[in-house]
Amino acid sequence: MTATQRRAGWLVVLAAVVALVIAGARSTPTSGVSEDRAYALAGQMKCLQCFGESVAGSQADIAIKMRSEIRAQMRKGRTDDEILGFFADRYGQRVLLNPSGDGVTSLVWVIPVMAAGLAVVGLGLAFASWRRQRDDAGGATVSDEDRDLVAAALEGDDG
Amino acid sequence: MKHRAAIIAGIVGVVVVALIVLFVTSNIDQDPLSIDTNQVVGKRAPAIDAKDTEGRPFTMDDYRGRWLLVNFFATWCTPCIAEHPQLKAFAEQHSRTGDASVVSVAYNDTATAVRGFFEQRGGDWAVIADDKSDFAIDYAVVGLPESYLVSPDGVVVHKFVGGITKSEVEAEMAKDSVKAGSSASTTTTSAP
Repeated sequence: MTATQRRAGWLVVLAAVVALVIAGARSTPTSGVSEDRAYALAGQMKCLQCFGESVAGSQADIAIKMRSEIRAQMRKGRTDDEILGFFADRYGQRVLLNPSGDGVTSLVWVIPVMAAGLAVVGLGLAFASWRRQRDDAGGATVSDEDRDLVAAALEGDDG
Repeated sequence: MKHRAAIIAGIVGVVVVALIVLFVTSNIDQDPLSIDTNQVVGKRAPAIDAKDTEGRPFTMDDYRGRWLLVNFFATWCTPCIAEHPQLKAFAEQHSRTGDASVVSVAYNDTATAVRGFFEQRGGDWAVIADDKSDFAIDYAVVGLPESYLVSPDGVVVHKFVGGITKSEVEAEMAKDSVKAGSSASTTTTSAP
């Protein structure tokens, strides 16, 4: 496989990842009045009466009431951010399952990006180092003389 | 090379320890009901304008100048039944002195059930049973019963989680009256 083919392969992988991310981001409606949108919004809110459940998945009274309010807000033409903000204004940021980018909670967003960035840089440095070592070895082609030397050494060990 | 590995291991170790400390000191595993995230306390009380179960118009503006205890309850909620005598005692005493009133907002309930509840258990104060309203959301109610003490100038000064007692509501009124003129107290208490 030539270097050009390898690069083309990586480009295909990159294009596929970008396409999947875009498709995933666009799969949920962000306007209008639909159950899909209501469910998606409810899935971004925590049921404060429950343990580890979102408003979308809970049958607690408060979750039912909140889902009903989400639908009412959708009917009023509110955007997703406005609806989430409406609940955060009353119940606090803790009601949102996707933490805000403020204060300590911003670490949730920053750390993975930094870790991924550092990993990529680390891999790049490691690959460069390995390539340099290989080049320094002078492209080390094994000659017949080398093979004979190794074979003799192995025979000596056996003997 | 050895030093570089040690430095990287050290950095990773410090980051991991810092994250563990952050996780342990956060209150992720606490009882969700014990974490008060309510943003209403300390702010102007959300308006409640509706008809009560007797068909009379209710507006909070009519209660300016005196304390108002906004009580969220349901006829099917056992702790709400348990707190009712305390609400009744509070309402009766303060309707005589004229310094405080109660309004109850029924949550996921019907006007018929609410009327039956008050006929059986007594109590003579405004009760809103408008199931389509979002008063509970406006007050950021999480569970029942919950009550909000609104000061005479219309600010929510205290949230009671669980059943109230007459004495604790009066204690909050007294506490806030002492602080009046400076800044309003913004607190929450939970039923034991």
